[in-house]
Amino acid sequence: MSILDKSFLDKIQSSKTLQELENLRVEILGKKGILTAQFALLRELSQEEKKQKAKELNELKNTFESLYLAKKATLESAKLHSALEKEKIDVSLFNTTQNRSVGHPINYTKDKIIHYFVSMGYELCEGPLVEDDFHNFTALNLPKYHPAREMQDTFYFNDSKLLRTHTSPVQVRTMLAQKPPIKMICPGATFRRDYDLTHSPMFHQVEGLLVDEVGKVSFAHLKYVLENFLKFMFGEVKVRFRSSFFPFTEPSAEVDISCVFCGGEGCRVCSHSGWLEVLGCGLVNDNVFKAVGYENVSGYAFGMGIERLCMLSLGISDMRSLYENDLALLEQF
Amino acid sequence: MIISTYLLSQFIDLEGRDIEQIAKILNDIGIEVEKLWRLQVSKRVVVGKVVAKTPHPNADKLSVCQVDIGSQTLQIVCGAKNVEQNQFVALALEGAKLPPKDEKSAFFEIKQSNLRGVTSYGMICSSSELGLCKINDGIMVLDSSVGELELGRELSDYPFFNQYFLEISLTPNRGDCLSVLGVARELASVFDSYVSLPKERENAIALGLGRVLNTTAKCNIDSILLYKVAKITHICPSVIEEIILAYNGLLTKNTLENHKIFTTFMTGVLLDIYALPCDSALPAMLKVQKDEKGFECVYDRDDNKLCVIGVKSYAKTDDFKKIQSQESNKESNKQSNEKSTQNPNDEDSKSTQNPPTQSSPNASKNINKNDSKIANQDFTITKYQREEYELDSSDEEDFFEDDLDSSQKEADDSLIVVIQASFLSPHIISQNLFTHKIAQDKTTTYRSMRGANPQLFVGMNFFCEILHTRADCLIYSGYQELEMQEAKDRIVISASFEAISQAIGKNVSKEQIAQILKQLDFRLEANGEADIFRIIPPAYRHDIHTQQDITEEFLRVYGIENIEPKPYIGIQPKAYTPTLHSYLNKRDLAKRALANGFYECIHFLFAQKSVLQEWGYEVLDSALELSNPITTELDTVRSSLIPSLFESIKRNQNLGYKNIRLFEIGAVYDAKREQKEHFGIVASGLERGESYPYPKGKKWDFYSFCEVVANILGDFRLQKPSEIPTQAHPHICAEIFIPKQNFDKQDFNTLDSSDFKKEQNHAQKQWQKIGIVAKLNPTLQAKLEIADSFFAEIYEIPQLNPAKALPTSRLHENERDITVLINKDIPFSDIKEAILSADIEHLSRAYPLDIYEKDGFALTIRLVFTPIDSSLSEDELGKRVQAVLEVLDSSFGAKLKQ
Repeated sequence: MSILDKSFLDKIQSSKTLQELENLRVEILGKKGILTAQFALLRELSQEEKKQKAKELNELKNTFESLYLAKKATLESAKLHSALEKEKIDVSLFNTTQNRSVGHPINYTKDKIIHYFVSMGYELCEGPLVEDDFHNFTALNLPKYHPAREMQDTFYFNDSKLLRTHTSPVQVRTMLAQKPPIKMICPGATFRRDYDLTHSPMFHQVEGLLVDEVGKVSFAHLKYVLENFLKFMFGEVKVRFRSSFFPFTEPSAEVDISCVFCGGEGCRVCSHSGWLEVLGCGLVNDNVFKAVGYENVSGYAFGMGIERLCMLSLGISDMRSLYENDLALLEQF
Repeated sequence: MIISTYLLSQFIDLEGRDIEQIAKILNDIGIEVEKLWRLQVSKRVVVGKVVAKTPHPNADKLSVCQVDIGSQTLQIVCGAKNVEQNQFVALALEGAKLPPKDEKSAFFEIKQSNLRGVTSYGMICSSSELGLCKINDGIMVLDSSVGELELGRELSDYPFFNQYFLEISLTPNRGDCLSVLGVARELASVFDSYVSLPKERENAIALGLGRVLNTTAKCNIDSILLYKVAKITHICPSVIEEIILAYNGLLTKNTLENHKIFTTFMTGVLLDIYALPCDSALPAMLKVQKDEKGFECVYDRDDNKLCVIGVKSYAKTDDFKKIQSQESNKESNKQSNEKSTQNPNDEDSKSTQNPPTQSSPNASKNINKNDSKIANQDFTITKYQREEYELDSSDEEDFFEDDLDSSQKEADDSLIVVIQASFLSPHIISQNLFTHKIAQDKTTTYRSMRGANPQLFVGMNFFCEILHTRADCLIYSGYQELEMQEAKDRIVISASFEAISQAIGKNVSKEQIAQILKQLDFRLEANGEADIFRIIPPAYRHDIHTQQDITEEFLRVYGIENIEPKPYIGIQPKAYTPTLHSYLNKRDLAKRALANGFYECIHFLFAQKSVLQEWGYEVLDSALELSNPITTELDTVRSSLIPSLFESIKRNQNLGYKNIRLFEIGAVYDAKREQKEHFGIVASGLERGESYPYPKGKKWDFYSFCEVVANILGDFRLQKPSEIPTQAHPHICAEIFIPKQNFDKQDFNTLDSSDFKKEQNHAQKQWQKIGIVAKLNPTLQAKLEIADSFFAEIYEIPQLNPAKALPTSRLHENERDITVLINKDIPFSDIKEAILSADIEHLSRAYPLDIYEKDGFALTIRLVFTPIDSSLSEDELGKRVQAVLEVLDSSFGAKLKQ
């Protein structure tokens, strides 16, 4: 091979492997390389010729080296590519058999409610599930003979304690333990002796209470916080207050939202009324304040069933399914 | 309660009122409209009269009727047993479209049809075929209660068959609304209109009541009572009444009873009806007195208890059936009989022989003012014959059994009944019934405990009006009334306009408040002070006692929707409390469990005592046990979360799941019924499901289960418990220990480098037991028929926030592995404890690397040394490893494996 006919340039291009290319480099620029030999011959030339020849040789060398490096980079990249090619997998074969849930639908809903009210400055309060008659009924304006007690079928223990039928006793306990002002919510499990399509012996409530000096708390305040809360839970819904009755509040109201399933047009879920009942509320009955020894105060209270809000916001139709703990349901959340 | 616009319009003018508006008003003022639907009987359903009925030639159960519809007479094949000649019926003509039986089916169109060879040109309808509530097993027989029956007239022309029904639900404080009148009253308040109440029918020639009835109170009573007496020969049903009562589940087979129930349904007044014993001397005696339990009762002359007021009636309603019209053609008989009773003789001599009876001297008061007022009329009555009232002089049994005996005289078919309207304060009834459990009519006490209508004349007049129109009868004129307390201590409430405005959160004028209260029939009196006024609620409002009640009354009529929402701006109590802190911590733990693929469960607090015992968990002391469990399977409250979590494992395994991870954070109770919060974690079957790249999945083992539990709880160490609980595998069970948490002291300022050494110093670390982790006992597992399962139950839920930060080393750690021959039965926790408590400098961790069981038992332990200020030399490391080996040798006789 003659270095001068520049055929090595083609040889570079035709090299197929890094090894071939390296062999070529050795053949040209190695210790015994053709070009190396040419450089060695320079010594024998006159100064004038040497300068001329050296210039030519250096140009050749530079040309070779730049082509060599380019080719080397190409071949290396091809090699890496083929190596990576061998590691190729089908990423979509990934298939976890274990879904990650955000929590039981009831607790997820409960957390969301707590999140709202805690952000609004309500103190989170908890109380015992096993209660006595005073905290669960009497202090809440429900004397023993009151017909409203019939609404609540109660679980009793042999020592006449009972399982709380609502979370209201926590409000009584908080009022007995603290002085006003009070701004609290009490979420938790409650119990009634009832089991059918729409009743579960255990269910959950969140109740809220605000107490301040007399004349400071009004129904208008109650409307504000509940309308705001319901929009937080359900988005842009219409909110309706209907007069109602609860022994522990007066005036009392039940609160409806426009049906989240049909938008108020009327469907099976809302019994074609366009409204869904979600809350009960009212100004605290003076008899409740009397029972805890508060004077010259005013306040509002509200309560909601977590299951109801959970079912409506997540679209679960059977209340009992919430306690069956079937993965088929739990996996979805 | 199901009411209708037709019923409401008996008391209030609904002309021009839109039904949607009515429903909205009711909802707004606290009478929840659960359902609202329109009843409109299909076109081409007309009034017809059965003029002939013959048996079907080819079918036993069918009859062929000729039905006159005015313009023509049609042949109709009818399958109902109760079809009779002369009945007025609802006849669906060809082309009538009857409502579908359920949501799925379509309208049913009537066509001419051939029934076993006989052509039928229409269908005689039952109430349910017309889309009404079912009232009987056959066809619906029409009567004049729907209006004048014109043959051929479409039913939908009659207001009753073209109206709206409303299903309403009432709150327990509103006993006054448990009647159509009550609801009408509410509507009238909002409309600023009035209700029209039934009046006594003018009947100048009727006999006086005093002749036949004498009522006395034997002691001081709280009840008020009103009496009237009627002599009834025939009584006819009312189809409207039957339909309404059927809708409300109140329909009985007894016509007089139905009239009575309907009166109460319409007016809210409680009625009792007693058939007079025929052999008793007249005037009949009724005594009111308290029984031994303090209930006010009505007794007859022979001290038979007739009723416990507001609680239970002991009247023999079977007696009423004797006058019940069995056939529809009595309808026409009635018309003529009514005329005859209204045509008495004008002989008045005999009536003077029976002057009104004097009140018993025992009664402290026996108001009989109405009776005396109309006394003059009594004396004008002429055809008074004592015998008529004695009905039958034979013994009582005969009297009640002979009602079907057609050979009896006409007069013997009639019945004298005492009609009693009563009212007793709901508070007294509720308290008595709470103190004494006695027999009660639930529908009666449901009403009386919530407050029946004390407007007794309204109920009495309504009932008498039914008798006048639906019975052949003579109603004695006048009333007898028993009321002990003159002008009952009426409630007077002082209220402030200002306070009402404040409570609702809107400035409303005095005039607005006063106006609305007046619409509600409250009486207002000024009190001298400009802002304070005195309010007297109407007698039927048993629920109004305080200013708050007045506020509620105002607000519900004024309309909550008219109150603008306002934000409460007030004092802010501290919101971040230990309760919130602990709640958020629990949720953080739950989120870790969720991130590790566990599903959150909520189980009932209830458990089965025998199951808890079988699993080796404590149970409540029997003195503290649940006394009225809902089922035997939920007869106590749980002391552990684990059994119910495994129930759910089993359930899900039966549903086809193979890798199941569940957890629950919830309350449990110990034997003393102290409430605690536990955290239960369970896993069963496969850790990795059967899926590429693990086609056979990967089973759980103890160590991998502990790994995920640690992912959730944070680092812990395990120790074999001294006693293995029943629910655990006897050899695969450990107690979980974590470094003792000191939540009170979180003092970040006192840290120095010596603390770092202390933390390394294992022996000085305090450990606390927080729970148990184990493989499920194989016997329980086999019984549940579930795959290999593991559980952890945490009874001291750890705080996830670290107590304080530790200084960190920037130098490379050194690892040294040693393999020692050691007794296999020594638990690694002991070895680790020995190594770490030897206080070897720079030794920060020691953990097991591998075990060898060939040629004796050998254990490889990795020792990790953490340099603090400068790197450790080989020499220094060697010395420290040697020190460890010496500890192992001296403590356990362990030798380095060569």
